[in-house]
Amino acid sequence: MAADIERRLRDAMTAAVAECEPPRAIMELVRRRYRRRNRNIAAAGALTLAAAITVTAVTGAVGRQPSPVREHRAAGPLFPGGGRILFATAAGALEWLYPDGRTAQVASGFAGAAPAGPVLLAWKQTAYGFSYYTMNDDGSDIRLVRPAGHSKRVSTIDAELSPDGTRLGYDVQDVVSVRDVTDEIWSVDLVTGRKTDLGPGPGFIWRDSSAILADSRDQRSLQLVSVTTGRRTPFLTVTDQPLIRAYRQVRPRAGLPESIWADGWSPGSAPAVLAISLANTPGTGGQPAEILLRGGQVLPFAPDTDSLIQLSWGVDGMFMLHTGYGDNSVGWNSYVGTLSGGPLSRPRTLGEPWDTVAFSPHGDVIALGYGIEITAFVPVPAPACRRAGRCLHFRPKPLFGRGTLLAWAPVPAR
Amino acid sequence: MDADAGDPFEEFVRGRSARLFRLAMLLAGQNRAEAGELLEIALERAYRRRATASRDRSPEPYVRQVLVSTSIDRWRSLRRRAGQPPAAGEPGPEVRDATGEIADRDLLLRSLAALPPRQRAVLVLRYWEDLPEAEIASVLRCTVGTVRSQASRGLARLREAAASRVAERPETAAPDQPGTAVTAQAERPETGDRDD
Repeated sequence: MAADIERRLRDAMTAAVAECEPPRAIMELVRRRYRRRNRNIAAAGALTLAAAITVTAVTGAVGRQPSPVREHRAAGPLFPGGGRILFATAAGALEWLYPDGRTAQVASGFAGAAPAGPVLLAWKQTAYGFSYYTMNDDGSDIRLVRPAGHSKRVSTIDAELSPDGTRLGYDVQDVVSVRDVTDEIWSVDLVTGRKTDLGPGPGFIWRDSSAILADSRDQRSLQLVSVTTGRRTPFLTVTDQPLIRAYRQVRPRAGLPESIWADGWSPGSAPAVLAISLANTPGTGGQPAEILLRGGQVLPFAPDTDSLIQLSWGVDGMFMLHTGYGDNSVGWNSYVGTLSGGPLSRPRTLGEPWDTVAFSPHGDVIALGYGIEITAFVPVPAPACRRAGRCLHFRPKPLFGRGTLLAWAPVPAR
Repeated sequence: MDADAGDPFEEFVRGRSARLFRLAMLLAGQNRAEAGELLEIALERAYRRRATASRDRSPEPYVRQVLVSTSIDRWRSLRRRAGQPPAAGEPGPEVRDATGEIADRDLLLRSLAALPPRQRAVLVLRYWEDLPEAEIASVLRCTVGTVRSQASRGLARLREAAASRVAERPETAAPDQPGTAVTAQAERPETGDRDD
């Protein structure tokens, strides 16, 4: 009887939609929707800017309140927070933008890049997935470190340089079918070219330059993998008591954690902090919590969300949590915290979910990237900003048409 | 991007949009306009992320997840606004149906469309997409237990609807009263979807 209704339902659904075709110009409809959304965000940014101008005119406020854009172009900085920002422009160039409006093109033909110590790891889109390159931060000494594959089915994803820049770790994904996707992690010594099979994926992060932390296939443990031998040893599991205690502390009604993922180590010098996420369902999702581990210290966080939670590192132990479901604007919130504990605080944003985020080098400003058109700057809220030694006060400041926000870095002393 | 390379996202859309649209049709209760809107929303969100695509997996699981979550969110928001769920699609033209097979399918589909959206999504992902329970749990951000219970409740309602049709069916086939057996149930507020 049960099998019968299941079969009939399957047949009915298959027959009902077998001839259905999407609108012919679906890609054009998608582009139009994308442009419409950007216009809306731009309008929100313009409103914010208009409010800032009004406030400035009425109160004569100066100090750290940013000036209107026209005045910025003439005298003030283009964006608050100092340093320089790396963008991937619409034309496919990697470009540094300085607060005085100067730009320095790094390289062209790249879809994106991420700073990795003193160098950049950049990637290009090809007909067969991504190819990866290293280069100095001025675009010199470009080296192909991982060519694209020769098949649309197999591609390299999640490539990351080791902390000392001598190795590349990467995940080779084979999409056999929608439901049959395999991941293999590899590392290659960039000096000798020797490759090491580090076993199955799906994901990994570098622990140090000699080992990675890999997610297990059943998502119930993290495994330490030597990049020279490929040997795996258990590192953390969902049954570890300190993790269970931390999860229960912030998710008292969620039961036991069922999955664990590595989110990454804090950037910069020691002491290194490991961020992991736990959830009470297989896969990311169900009642998630972000757990920060520093030596024996365990710091759990679980803002009010029953779905997505992601972490982005700032500077000096500062971090940002973003929560939401898919990226619906309802329930999409962001919080800033520090390793010293204390309450999380909410930065002021333009309201829409953003795509990328970066902290200023001093840890006092957050840049939020909305697609390739808009970057918004907002102050780091208190109490997290006190970690940076100063709290700025200004309204969200938009910057238009610079490209996809990739990174925010100090200006190197040369 | 290399000069000779096609845009990978456009290739993805070309290759997979028909399948994704069919999924959207089922999630939207065969309302074509609603399905088109769902697909547009989901693809636009994936399009936004294309610049950072090397950090992500294939866009398909993401698009599928947005389709499901948006279908549930839109149903809830429309229901709050209008006091009732969005209407299912119009029935197709009348077809001679000597064995009652088409009427049976039609009733099942109408009953499916009348289910609460999470139950409907579970049944569509399970029996049309053929996803394992763990993956459905991941898409719906719930436990495997919840997936099982939602599937069981959804199937029970479909079975009730099918049984009521058999009971009402006269020897000579009369036009169905589509969906009446389950519509009243579907208008109840959703309960039991959350685990906490």
